[in-house]
Amino acid sequence: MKNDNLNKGSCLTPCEEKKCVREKLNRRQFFGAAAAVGAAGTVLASSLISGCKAKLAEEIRKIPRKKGMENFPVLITEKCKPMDQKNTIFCRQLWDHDFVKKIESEAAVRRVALSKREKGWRQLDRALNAAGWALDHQFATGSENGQPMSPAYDWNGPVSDRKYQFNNPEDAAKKIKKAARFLGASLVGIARYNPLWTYSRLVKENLENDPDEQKKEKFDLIKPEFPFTPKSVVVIAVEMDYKAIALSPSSLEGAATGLGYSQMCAVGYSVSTFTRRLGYRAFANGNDISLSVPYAVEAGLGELGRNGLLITPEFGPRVRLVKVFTELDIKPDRCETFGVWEFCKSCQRCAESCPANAISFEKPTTEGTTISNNPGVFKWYINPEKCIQFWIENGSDCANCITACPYNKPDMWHHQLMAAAAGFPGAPLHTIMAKMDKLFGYGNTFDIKANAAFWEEN
Amino acid sequence: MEFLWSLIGAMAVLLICGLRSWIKKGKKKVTFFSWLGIFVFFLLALFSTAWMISCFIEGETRAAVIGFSIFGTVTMVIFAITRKKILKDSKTRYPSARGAY
Repeated sequence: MKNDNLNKGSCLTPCEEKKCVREKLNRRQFFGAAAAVGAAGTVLASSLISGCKAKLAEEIRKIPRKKGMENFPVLITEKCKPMDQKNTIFCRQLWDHDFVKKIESEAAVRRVALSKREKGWRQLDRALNAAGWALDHQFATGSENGQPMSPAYDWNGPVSDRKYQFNNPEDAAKKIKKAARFLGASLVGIARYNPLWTYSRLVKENLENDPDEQKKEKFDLIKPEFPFTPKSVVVIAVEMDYKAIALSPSSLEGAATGLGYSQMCAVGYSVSTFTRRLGYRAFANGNDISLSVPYAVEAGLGELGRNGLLITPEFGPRVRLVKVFTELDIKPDRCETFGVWEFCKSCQRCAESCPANAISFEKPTTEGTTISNNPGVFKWYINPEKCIQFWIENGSDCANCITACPYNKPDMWHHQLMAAAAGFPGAPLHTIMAKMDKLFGYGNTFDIKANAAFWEEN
Repeated sequence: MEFLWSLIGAMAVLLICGLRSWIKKGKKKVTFFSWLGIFVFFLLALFSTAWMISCFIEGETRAAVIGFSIFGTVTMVIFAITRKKILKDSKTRYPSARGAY
Protein backbone atom coordinates (compact mmCIF):
# COMPACT_ATOMS: atom_id res chain seq x y z
CA MET A 1 0.00 0.00 0.00
CA LYS A 2 1.38 3.43 -0.89
CA ASN A 3 2.23 5.43 2.19
CA ASP A 4 2.61 8.95 0.83
CA ASN A 5 0.02 9.98 3.31
CA LEU A 6 -1.22 13.50 3.64
CA ASN A 7 -0.20 14.12 7.22
CA LYS A 8 3.42 13.17 7.60
CA GLY A 9 4.25 12.46 11.21
CA SER A 10 0.71 11.30 12.04
CA CYS A 11 0.34 8.08 14.07
CA LEU A 12 -2.90 7.13 12.37
CA THR A 13 -3.15 5.07 9.22
CA PRO A 14 -4.47 6.95 6.19
CA CYS A 15 -7.74 5.11 6.51
CA GLU A 16 -8.18 6.04 10.15
CA GLU A 17 -7.13 9.62 9.40
CA LYS A 18 -9.72 9.94 6.68
CA LYS A 19 -12.41 8.65 9.03
CA CYS A 20 -11.26 11.11 11.70
CA VAL A 21 -11.37 14.07 9.31
CA ARG A 22 -14.78 13.04 8.00
CA GLU A 23 -16.13 12.81 11.55
CA LYS A 24 -14.69 16.23 12.47
CA LEU A 25 -16.18 17.80 9.37
CA ASN A 26 -19.55 16.24 10.10
CA ARG A 27 -19.56 17.54 13.67
CA ARG A 28 -18.50 21.02 12.45
CA GLN A 29 -21.18 20.99 9.85
CA PHE A 30 -23.72 19.85 12.40
CA PHE A 31 -22.93 22.64 14.86
CA GLY A 32 -22.81 25.26 12.10
CA ALA A 33 -26.14 24.14 10.69
CA ALA A 34 -27.67 23.96 14.16
CA ALA A 35 -26.53 27.52 14.93
CA ALA A 36 -27.92 28.85 11.64
CA VAL A 37 -31.21 27.00 12.05
CA GLY A 38 -31.45 28.10 15.67
CA ALA A 39 -30.93 31.79 14.81
CA ALA A 40 -33.39 31.71 11.93
CA GLY A 41 -35.88 29.76 13.99
CA THR A 42 -35.68 32.22 16.88
CA VAL A 43 -36.38 35.21 14.66
CA LEU A 44 -39.19 33.41 12.85
CA ALA A 45 -40.77 32.05 16.01
CA SER A 46 -40.64 35.38 17.84
CA SER A 47 -42.11 37.09 14.79
CA LEU A 48 -44.94 34.59 14.59
CA ILE A 49 -45.56 34.72 18.32
CA SER A 50 -45.69 38.52 18.40
CA GLY A 51 -47.97 38.44 15.35
CA CYS A 52 -50.30 36.04 17.13
CA LYS A 53 -50.13 38.07 20.33
CA ALA A 54 -51.26 41.20 18.48
CA LYS A 55 -54.34 39.40 17.16
CA LEU A 56 -54.97 37.94 20.58
CA ALA A 57 -54.76 41.37 22.19
CA GLU A 58 -57.42 42.73 19.90
CA GLU A 59 -59.74 39.80 20.54
CA ILE A 60 -59.23 40.11 24.27
CA ARG A 61 -59.94 43.80 24.15
CA LYS A 62 -63.54 43.25 23.01
CA ILE A 63 -64.25 46.90 22.39
CA PRO A 64 -67.58 47.17 20.59
CA ARG A 65 -67.28 48.87 17.25
CA LYS A 66 -69.55 51.68 16.09
CA LYS A 67 -72.50 50.47 14.02
CA GLY A 68 -71.77 50.60 10.33
CA MET A 69 -67.99 50.87 10.90
CA GLU A 70 -67.31 47.19 11.51
CA ASN A 71 -65.23 46.80 8.35
CA PHE A 72 -63.24 49.99 8.76
CA PRO A 73 -59.52 49.15 9.25
CA VAL A 74 -59.33 51.49 12.25
CA LEU A 75 -61.38 50.60 15.32
CA ILE A 76 -64.14 53.21 15.74
CA THR A 77 -66.14 53.04 18.96
CA GLU A 78 -69.59 54.42 19.79
CA LYS A 79 -67.86 57.25 21.64
CA CYS A 80 -66.66 58.72 18.36
CA LYS A 81 -68.82 61.69 17.30
CA PRO A 82 -68.47 64.37 14.65
CA MET A 83 -65.91 66.86 15.89
CA ASP A 84 -66.63 70.53 16.52
CA GLN A 85 -64.33 72.48 14.22
CA LYS A 86 -64.00 75.12 16.94
CA ASN A 87 -61.76 72.70 18.86
CA THR A 88 -59.31 72.04 16.03
CA ILE A 89 -55.93 73.48 16.84
CA PHE A 90 -56.09 76.10 14.07
CA CYS A 91 -59.53 77.39 15.06
CA ARG A 92 -58.63 77.47 18.76
CA GLN A 93 -56.28 80.32 17.98
CA LEU A 94 -59.36 82.45 17.23
CA TRP A 95 -61.02 82.03 20.62
CA ASP A 96 -58.78 80.23 23.14
CA HIS A 97 -56.84 83.34 24.19
CA ASP A 98 -55.23 81.70 27.23
CA PHE A 99 -53.87 78.93 25.06
CA VAL A 100 -52.53 81.42 22.51
CA LYS A 101 -50.84 83.49 25.23
CA LYS A 102 -49.22 80.38 26.69
CA ILE A 103 -47.73 79.07 23.45
CA GLU A 104 -46.67 82.52 22.26
CA SER A 105 -44.76 83.26 25.46
CA GLU A 106 -43.06 79.83 25.51
CA ALA A 107 -42.23 80.04 21.81
CA ALA A 108 -40.69 83.51 22.10
CA VAL A 109 -38.04 82.24 24.48
CA ARG A 110 -36.86 79.56 22.05
CA ARG A 111 -37.35 81.48 18.81
CA VAL A 112 -34.21 83.57 19.27
CA ALA A 113 -31.95 80.53 19.29
CA LEU A 114 -33.65 78.98 16.25
CA SER A 115 -33.41 82.16 14.16
CA LYS A 116 -29.64 81.90 14.18
CA ARG A 117 -29.83 79.11 11.58
CA GLU A 118 -29.43 80.56 8.12
CA LYS A 119 -29.48 77.77 5.57
CA GLY A 120 -33.11 77.13 4.68
CA TRP A 121 -34.25 80.47 6.12
CA ARG A 122 -32.73 83.00 3.75
CA GLN A 123 -34.69 85.36 1.52
CA LEU A 124 -34.29 82.92 -1.39
CA ASP A 125 -35.81 80.10 0.66
CA ARG A 126 -38.63 82.20 2.08
CA ALA A 127 -39.49 83.47 -1.40
CA LEU A 128 -39.90 79.89 -2.59
CA ASN A 129 -42.06 79.18 0.44
CA ALA A 130 -44.33 82.13 -0.38
CA ALA A 131 -44.50 81.03 -4.01
CA GLY A 132 -45.52 77.52 -3.00
CA TRP A 133 -48.43 78.88 -0.97
CA ALA A 134 -49.43 81.55 -3.52
CA LEU A 135 -52.29 79.73 -5.28
CA ASP A 136 -53.77 78.48 -2.04
CA HIS A 137 -53.65 81.93 -0.44
CA GLN A 138 -55.22 83.49 -3.52
CA PHE A 139 -58.00 81.00 -4.27
CA ALA A 140 -58.51 79.00 -1.07
CA THR A 141 -57.83 81.70 1.48
CA GLY A 142 -57.80 80.39 5.01
CA SER A 143 -58.91 76.89 4.01
CA GLU A 144 -55.72 75.38 5.43
CA ASN A 145 -56.85 76.75 8.80
CA GLY A 146 -60.42 75.54 8.33
CA GLN A 147 -62.12 78.53 6.69
CA PRO A 148 -65.01 77.13 4.59
CA MET A 149 -66.38 78.35 1.25
CA SER A 150 -63.27 79.96 -0.17
CA PRO A 151 -63.47 80.59 -3.97
CA ALA A 152 -61.88 77.25 -4.95
CA TYR A 153 -63.99 75.38 -2.39
CA ASP A 154 -67.28 77.17 -3.03
CA TRP A 155 -70.35 75.00 -2.38
CA ASN A 156 -72.46 76.64 -5.07
CA GLY A 157 -70.57 76.37 -8.33
CA PRO A 158 -72.54 76.48 -11.65
CA VAL A 159 -73.98 73.12 -12.75
CA SER A 160 -74.76 72.09 -16.31
CA ASP A 161 -78.44 71.56 -17.21
CA ARG A 162 -77.62 68.43 -19.18
CA LYS A 163 -76.97 65.37 -17.03
CA TYR A 164 -74.45 62.95 -18.49
CA GLN A 165 -75.75 59.38 -18.18
CA PHE A 166 -73.13 56.94 -16.98
CA ASN A 167 -73.73 53.26 -17.73
CA ASN A 168 -73.54 52.37 -14.04
CA PRO A 169 -71.67 53.46 -10.86
CA GLU A 170 -68.60 51.44 -11.97
CA ASP A 171 -68.50 53.41 -15.20
CA ALA A 172 -68.80 56.66 -13.23
CA ALA A 173 -65.89 55.59 -10.99
CA LYS A 174 -63.69 54.77 -13.98
CA LYS A 175 -64.32 58.07 -15.74
CA ILE A 176 -64.09 60.28 -12.65
CA LYS A 177 -60.77 58.65 -11.69
CA LYS A 178 -59.41 59.04 -15.21
CA ALA A 179 -60.35 62.73 -15.17
CA ALA A 180 -58.83 63.23 -11.72
CA ARG A 181 -55.50 61.71 -12.80
CA PHE A 182 -55.50 63.80 -15.95
CA LEU A 183 -56.16 66.94 -13.89
CA GLY A 184 -53.20 66.29 -11.58
CA ALA A 185 -54.16 63.75 -8.93
CA SER A 186 -51.32 61.46 -7.85
CA LEU A 187 -53.78 59.00 -6.29
CA VAL A 188 -57.58 58.87 -6.43
CA GLY A 189 -60.18 56.75 -4.67
CA ILE A 190 -63.91 56.81 -4.03
CA ALA A 191 -65.67 56.61 -0.65
CA ARG A 192 -69.27 56.86 0.50
CA TYR A 193 -70.21 60.11 2.21
CA ASN A 194 -70.08 59.66 6.00
CA PRO A 195 -71.47 62.46 8.24
CA LEU A 196 -69.23 61.18 11.07
CA TRP A 197 -66.23 62.76 9.34
CA THR A 198 -67.90 66.15 8.75
CA TYR A 199 -67.48 68.73 11.50
CA SER A 200 -70.58 69.22 13.63
CA ARG A 201 -70.11 73.01 13.46
CA LEU A 202 -67.96 75.10 11.15
CA VAL A 203 -65.94 78.17 12.05
CA LYS A 204 -66.47 81.01 9.58
CA GLU A 205 -64.08 83.87 10.21
CA ASN A 206 -65.29 87.44 9.76
CA LEU A 207 -62.59 88.52 7.40
CA GLU A 208 -64.05 91.99 6.74
CA ASN A 209 -62.78 94.49 9.25
CA ASP A 210 -65.62 96.78 10.27
CA PRO A 211 -64.38 99.16 12.98
CA ASP A 212 -67.95 100.21 13.83
CA GLU A 213 -68.98 96.73 14.77
CA GLN A 214 -66.79 95.53 17.57
CA LYS A 215 -67.64 91.83 17.77
CA LYS A 216 -66.50 89.90 20.79
CA GLU A 217 -65.49 86.91 18.63
CA LYS A 218 -64.13 87.32 15.15
CA PHE A 219 -65.98 84.30 13.79
CA ASP A 220 -69.39 82.66 13.47
CA LEU A 221 -70.27 79.07 14.18
CA ILE A 222 -72.40 77.67 11.36
CA LYS A 223 -73.94 74.28 10.67
CA PRO A 224 -72.60 72.31 7.71
CA GLU A 225 -75.81 72.60 5.66
CA PHE A 226 -74.73 71.81 2.15
CA PRO A 227 -76.91 72.72 -0.86
CA PHE A 228 -77.33 68.98 -1.51
CA THR A 229 -76.83 65.72 0.36
CA PRO A 230 -73.54 64.27 -0.84
CA LYS A 231 -73.61 60.61 -1.89
CA SER A 232 -70.02 59.99 -2.90
CA VAL A 233 -66.65 61.48 -2.04
CA VAL A 234 -63.83 61.56 -4.58
CA VAL A 235 -60.66 61.48 -2.47
CA ILE A 236 -57.55 62.81 -4.16
CA ALA A 237 -53.97 62.62 -2.90
CA VAL A 238 -51.33 64.96 -4.28
CA GLU A 239 -47.69 63.97 -3.89
CA MET A 240 -45.27 66.44 -2.28
CA ASP A 241 -41.69 66.83 -3.45
CA TYR A 242 -39.42 64.22 -1.81
CA LYS A 243 -36.22 66.27 -1.73
CA ALA A 244 -37.86 69.41 -0.39
CA ILE A 245 -39.77 67.55 2.34
CA ALA A 246 -36.44 66.02 3.40
CA LEU A 247 -35.32 69.55 4.41
CA SER A 248 -37.76 69.67 7.31
CA PRO A 249 -38.29 71.76 9.36
CA SER A 250 -36.95 74.63 7.25
CA SER A 251 -38.67 77.21 5.09
CA LEU A 252 -37.83 75.10 2.04
CA GLU A 253 -39.87 72.20 3.40
CA GLY A 254 -42.67 74.73 3.98
CA ALA A 255 -42.48 75.49 0.26
CA ALA A 256 -43.25 71.83 -0.52
CA THR A 257 -46.17 71.86 1.93
CA GLY A 258 -47.50 75.12 0.51
CA LEU A 259 -47.20 73.80 -3.03
CA GLY A 260 -49.15 70.73 -1.89
CA TYR A 261 -51.98 72.96 -0.64
CA SER A 262 -51.93 74.95 -3.89
CA GLN A 263 -52.12 71.75 -5.93
CA MET A 264 -54.96 70.53 -3.71
CA CYS A 265 -56.87 73.70 -4.53
CA ALA A 266 -56.17 73.44 -8.27
CA VAL A 267 -56.96 69.72 -8.63
CA GLY A 268 -59.94 69.81 -6.28
CA TYR A 269 -61.50 72.77 -8.07
CA SER A 270 -60.84 71.17 -11.49
CA VAL A 271 -62.38 67.82 -10.56
CA SER A 272 -65.43 69.50 -9.01
CA THR A 273 -65.82 71.63 -12.16
CA PHE A 274 -65.62 68.47 -14.30
CA THR A 275 -68.35 66.83 -12.21
CA ARG A 276 -70.59 69.92 -12.35
CA ARG A 277 -70.16 70.13 -16.13
CA LEU A 278 -71.54 66.59 -16.28
CA GLY A 279 -74.68 67.91 -14.58
CA TYR A 280 -74.03 66.73 -11.03
CA ARG A 281 -73.64 69.08 -8.08
CA ALA A 282 -70.21 68.92 -6.51
CA PHE A 283 -67.74 70.97 -4.51
CA ALA A 284 -64.21 70.46 -3.29
CA ASN A 285 -62.87 70.81 0.24
CA GLY A 286 -59.53 70.43 1.93
CA ASN A 287 -59.03 70.96 5.66
CA ASP A 288 -62.11 73.11 5.91
CA ILE A 289 -65.30 71.15 6.45
CA SER A 290 -64.37 67.53 7.07
CA LEU A 291 -61.60 65.19 8.10
CA SER A 292 -59.50 63.94 5.20
CA VAL A 293 -57.59 60.95 6.58
CA PRO A 294 -60.66 58.77 7.41
CA TYR A 295 -62.08 59.39 3.93
CA ALA A 296 -58.74 58.45 2.38
CA VAL A 297 -58.66 55.23 4.41
CA GLU A 298 -62.23 54.41 3.31
CA ALA A 299 -61.29 55.11 -0.30
CA GLY A 300 -58.46 52.57 -0.10
CA LEU A 301 -55.63 55.06 -0.53
CA GLY A 302 -53.72 53.89 2.54
CA GLU A 303 -53.69 53.32 6.27
CA LEU A 304 -53.58 55.45 9.40
CA GLY A 305 -50.06 55.77 10.84
CA ARG A 306 -48.65 56.50 14.28
CA ASN A 307 -48.09 60.13 13.22
CA GLY A 308 -51.82 60.60 12.61
CA LEU A 309 -51.33 60.90 8.87
CA LEU A 310 -52.36 58.75 5.93
CA ILE A 311 -49.60 56.33 4.92
CA THR A 312 -49.86 55.39 1.24
CA PRO A 313 -48.03 52.45 -0.36
CA GLU A 314 -46.68 54.70 -3.12
CA PHE A 315 -45.48 57.79 -1.23
CA GLY A 316 -45.82 57.01 2.47
CA PRO A 317 -47.21 60.04 4.35
CA ARG A 318 -45.81 62.46 1.76
CA VAL A 319 -49.21 63.43 0.35
CA ARG A 320 -51.83 66.15 0.76
CA LEU A 321 -55.52 65.25 0.59
CA VAL A 322 -58.43 67.03 -1.05
CA LYS A 323 -61.99 65.70 -1.41
CA VAL A 324 -64.84 66.37 -3.82
CA PHE A 325 -68.33 65.86 -2.38
CA THR A 326 -70.88 65.06 -5.05
CA GLU A 327 -74.48 63.87 -5.48
CA LEU A 328 -73.30 61.53 -8.27
CA ASP A 329 -73.53 57.87 -7.32
CA ILE A 330 -70.05 56.44 -7.80
CA LYS A 331 -68.97 52.92 -6.91
CA PRO A 332 -66.85 53.16 -3.75
CA ASP A 333 -63.46 51.48 -3.41
CA ARG A 334 -62.54 49.00 -0.71
CA CYS A 335 -60.26 49.73 2.23
CA GLU A 336 -56.74 48.44 1.68
CA THR A 337 -54.18 47.48 4.31
CA PHE A 338 -50.54 46.60 3.78
CA GLY A 339 -49.09 46.17 7.26
CA VAL A 340 -48.71 49.80 8.39
CA TRP A 341 -50.52 49.32 11.70
CA GLU A 342 -48.25 46.42 12.72
CA PHE A 343 -45.12 48.21 11.50
CA CYS A 344 -45.97 51.43 13.36
CA LYS A 345 -46.20 49.45 16.62
CA SER A 346 -42.47 48.68 16.46
CA CYS A 347 -41.08 51.57 14.45
CA GLN A 348 -41.61 54.88 16.39
CA ARG A 349 -39.30 56.84 14.05
CA CYS A 350 -41.81 59.67 13.74
CA ALA A 351 -42.08 59.95 17.52
CA GLU A 352 -38.28 60.00 17.86
CA SER A 353 -37.90 62.70 15.23
CA CYS A 354 -40.67 65.00 16.50
CA PRO A 355 -38.96 68.07 17.98
CA ALA A 356 -42.08 68.90 20.00
CA ASN A 357 -42.49 65.40 21.45
CA ALA A 358 -46.06 65.53 20.19
CA ILE A 359 -46.28 61.96 18.87
CA SER A 360 -47.06 59.15 21.26
CA PHE A 361 -44.54 56.41 22.13
CA GLU A 362 -47.26 54.56 24.05
CA LYS A 363 -49.76 51.95 22.94
CA PRO A 364 -52.81 53.07 20.97
CA THR A 365 -55.83 54.22 22.95
CA THR A 366 -59.33 55.64 22.47
CA GLU A 367 -58.71 58.73 24.63
CA GLY A 368 -57.11 61.88 23.28
CA THR A 369 -54.69 64.12 25.17
CA THR A 370 -56.31 67.54 24.55
CA ILE A 371 -59.66 69.03 23.47
CA SER A 372 -58.20 69.21 19.98
CA ASN A 373 -58.34 65.41 19.75
CA ASN A 374 -61.57 63.61 18.86
CA PRO A 375 -61.90 60.62 21.24
CA GLY A 376 -63.45 57.28 20.38
CA VAL A 377 -60.98 56.16 17.72
CA PHE A 378 -58.46 53.45 18.66
CA LYS A 379 -55.21 55.00 17.46
CA TRP A 380 -52.09 56.87 18.56
CA TYR A 381 -53.22 60.37 19.48
CA ILE A 382 -50.81 63.21 18.74
CA ASN A 383 -50.71 66.34 20.89
CA PRO A 384 -51.65 69.21 18.53
CA GLU A 385 -50.84 71.83 21.19
CA LYS A 386 -47.20 70.77 21.35
CA CYS A 387 -47.09 70.48 17.57
CA ILE A 388 -48.39 74.00 16.91
CA GLN A 389 -46.13 75.43 19.58
CA PHE A 390 -43.11 74.16 17.66
CA TRP A 391 -44.48 75.61 14.42
CA ILE A 392 -44.60 79.03 16.07
CA GLU A 393 -41.07 78.66 17.48
CA ASN A 394 -39.85 77.43 14.13
CA GLY A 395 -41.43 80.24 12.13
CA SER A 396 -42.80 77.71 9.65
CA ASP A 397 -44.66 74.42 9.67
CA CYS A 398 -42.83 71.17 10.33
CA ALA A 399 -42.87 67.86 8.48
CA ASN A 400 -40.34 65.87 10.52
CA CYS A 401 -42.81 63.04 11.04
CA ILE A 402 -43.22 62.74 7.28
CA THR A 403 -39.49 62.95 6.56
CA ALA A 404 -38.57 60.32 9.16
CA CYS A 405 -41.26 57.80 8.22
CA PRO A 406 -39.67 54.69 6.65
CA TYR A 407 -42.57 54.53 4.17
CA ASN A 408 -41.57 57.95 2.82
CA LYS A 409 -39.34 56.95 -0.08
CA PRO A 410 -38.91 57.80 -3.77
CA ASP A 411 -40.63 55.44 -6.18
CA MET A 412 -37.80 52.94 -6.82
CA TRP A 413 -37.77 49.14 -6.90
CA HIS A 414 -35.67 48.56 -3.79
CA HIS A 415 -37.96 50.75 -1.65
CA GLN A 416 -41.02 48.99 -3.03
CA LEU A 417 -39.37 45.67 -2.12
CA MET A 418 -38.67 46.83 1.43
CA ALA A 419 -42.23 48.17 1.82
CA ALA A 420 -43.55 44.79 0.69
CA ALA A 421 -41.23 43.03 3.16
CA ALA A 422 -42.54 45.32 5.93
CA GLY A 423 -45.96 43.79 5.31
CA PHE A 424 -44.83 40.51 6.88
CA PRO A 425 -45.90 40.23 10.52
CA GLY A 426 -43.39 40.25 13.35
CA ALA A 427 -42.19 42.93 15.73
CA PRO A 428 -38.48 41.87 15.67
CA LEU A 429 -38.42 42.10 11.87
CA HIS A 430 -40.05 45.53 11.95
CA THR A 431 -37.71 46.81 14.65
CA ILE A 432 -34.71 45.65 12.63
CA MET A 433 -36.09 47.27 9.49
CA ALA A 434 -36.71 50.58 11.27
CA LYS A 435 -33.17 50.56 12.70
CA MET A 436 -31.70 49.67 9.30
CA ASP A 437 -33.62 52.54 7.72
CA LYS A 438 -31.90 54.92 10.12
CA LEU A 439 -28.51 53.23 9.62
CA PHE A 440 -28.80 53.64 5.86
CA GLY A 441 -29.19 57.40 6.38
CA TYR A 442 -32.85 57.83 5.44
CA GLY A 443 -35.20 60.16 7.27
CA ASN A 444 -32.69 62.72 8.58
CA THR A 445 -34.12 66.03 9.80
CA PHE A 446 -32.53 69.38 10.67
CA ASP A 447 -30.08 68.73 7.83
CA ILE A 448 -28.38 72.11 7.32
CA LYS A 449 -26.02 70.79 4.59
CA ALA A 450 -28.95 69.44 2.57
CA ASN A 451 -30.67 72.84 2.85
CA ALA A 452 -27.54 74.53 1.53
CA ALA A 453 -27.21 71.99 -1.31
CA PHE A 454 -30.86 72.36 -2.45
CA TRP A 455 -30.17 75.30 -4.77
CA GLU A 456 -26.99 73.71 -6.21
CA GLU A 457 -28.84 70.69 -7.67
CA ASN A 458 -30.75 70.82 -10.94
CA MET B 1 -35.49 48.25 -19.08
CA GLU B 2 -35.25 45.68 -21.83
CA PHE B 3 -31.50 46.28 -22.02
CA LEU B 4 -31.23 45.66 -18.29
CA TRP B 5 -33.07 42.35 -18.50
CA SER B 6 -30.92 41.33 -21.48
CA LEU B 7 -27.81 42.17 -19.45
CA ILE B 8 -29.01 40.05 -16.51
CA GLY B 9 -29.80 37.19 -18.87
CA ALA B 10 -26.37 37.43 -20.49
CA MET B 11 -24.68 37.41 -17.06
CA ALA B 12 -26.67 34.32 -16.08
CA VAL B 13 -25.68 32.51 -19.28
CA LEU B 14 -22.00 33.43 -18.81
CA LEU B 15 -22.09 32.23 -15.22
CA ILE B 16 -23.67 28.91 -16.17
CA CYS B 17 -21.20 28.34 -19.06
CA GLY B 18 -18.25 29.23 -16.84
CA LEU B 19 -19.50 26.91 -14.13
CA ARG B 20 -20.01 24.03 -16.54
CA SER B 21 -16.48 24.26 -17.89
CA TRP B 22 -15.03 24.60 -14.37
CA ILE B 23 -16.99 21.58 -13.20
CA LYS B 24 -16.02 19.44 -16.23
CA LYS B 25 -12.36 20.46 -16.24
CA GLY B 26 -11.72 20.08 -12.55
CA LYS B 27 -13.95 16.97 -12.24
CA LYS B 28 -15.99 18.70 -9.60
CA LYS B 29 -19.09 17.21 -8.03
CA VAL B 30 -21.98 19.65 -7.69
CA THR B 31 -24.89 18.44 -5.60
CA PHE B 32 -28.35 19.94 -5.30
CA PHE B 33 -27.32 22.06 -2.31
CA SER B 34 -24.29 23.35 -4.18
CA TRP B 35 -26.48 24.40 -7.10
CA LEU B 36 -28.79 26.08 -4.62
CA GLY B 37 -25.81 27.93 -3.14
CA ILE B 38 -24.69 29.04 -6.60
CA PHE B 39 -28.20 30.26 -7.40
CA VAL B 40 -28.49 32.17 -4.10
CA PHE B 41 -25.03 33.65 -4.60
CA PHE B 42 -25.97 34.90 -8.07
CA LEU B 43 -29.19 36.47 -6.80
CA LEU B 44 -27.47 38.13 -3.86
CA ALA B 45 -24.64 39.45 -6.02
CA LEU B 46 -27.18 40.87 -8.45
CA PHE B 47 -29.23 42.36 -5.59
CA SER B 48 -26.19 43.96 -3.91
CA THR B 49 -25.00 45.52 -7.16
CA ALA B 50 -28.48 46.72 -8.13
CA TRP B 51 -29.02 48.17 -4.64
CA MET B 52 -25.78 50.11 -4.81
CA ILE B 53 -26.46 51.48 -8.28
CA SER B 54 -30.06 52.45 -7.42
CA CYS B 55 -28.97 54.28 -4.26
CA PHE B 56 -26.32 56.18 -6.18
CA ILE B 57 -28.91 57.15 -8.80
CA GLU B 58 -31.23 58.58 -6.12
CA GLY B 59 -28.30 60.41 -4.50
CA GLU B 60 -28.14 58.40 -1.26
CA THR B 61 -24.42 57.59 -1.10
CA ARG B 62 -24.49 56.37 2.49
CA ALA B 63 -27.31 53.92 1.75
CA ALA B 64 -25.37 52.66 -1.28
CA VAL B 65 -22.17 52.02 0.67
CA ILE B 66 -23.76 50.49 3.75
CA GLY B 67 -26.16 48.41 1.67
CA PHE B 68 -23.38 47.08 -0.51
CA SER B 69 -21.28 46.28 2.57
CA ILE B 70 -24.05 44.36 4.31
CA PHE B 71 -25.49 42.53 1.33
CA GLY B 72 -22.03 42.06 -0.20
CA THR B 73 -20.77 40.42 2.99
CA VAL B 74 -23.69 38.01 3.00
CA THR B 75 -22.98 37.28 -0.68
CA MET B 76 -19.33 36.49 0.02
CA VAL B 77 -20.26 34.22 2.94
CA ILE B 78 -22.64 32.25 0.70
CA PHE B 79 -19.93 32.11 -1.97
CA ALA B 80 -17.35 30.80 0.50
CA ILE B 81 -19.71 28.15 1.92
CA THR B 82 -20.78 26.98 -1.56
CA ARG B 83 -17.21 26.82 -2.86
CA LYS B 84 -16.08 24.86 0.19
CA LYS B 85 -19.00 22.45 -0.23
CA ILE B 86 -18.21 21.88 -3.90
CA LEU B 87 -14.53 21.28 -3.21
CA LYS B 88 -15.33 18.96 -0.30
CA ASP B 89 -17.84 16.95 -2.34
CA SER B 90 -15.32 16.71 -5.18
CA LYS B 91 -12.61 15.37 -2.84
CA THR B 92 -15.01 12.68 -1.58
CA ARG B 93 -15.94 11.61 -5.11
CA TYR B 94 -12.50 11.89 -6.60
CA PRO B 95 -10.12 10.96 -3.78
CA SER B 96 -7.28 10.35 -6.25
CA ALA B 97 -7.27 14.09 -7.01
CA ARG B 98 -4.88 14.55 -4.10
CA GLY B 99 -3.29 11.03 -4.48
CA ALA B 100 -4.55 9.78 -1.13
CA TYR B 101 -3.61 6.07 -1.60
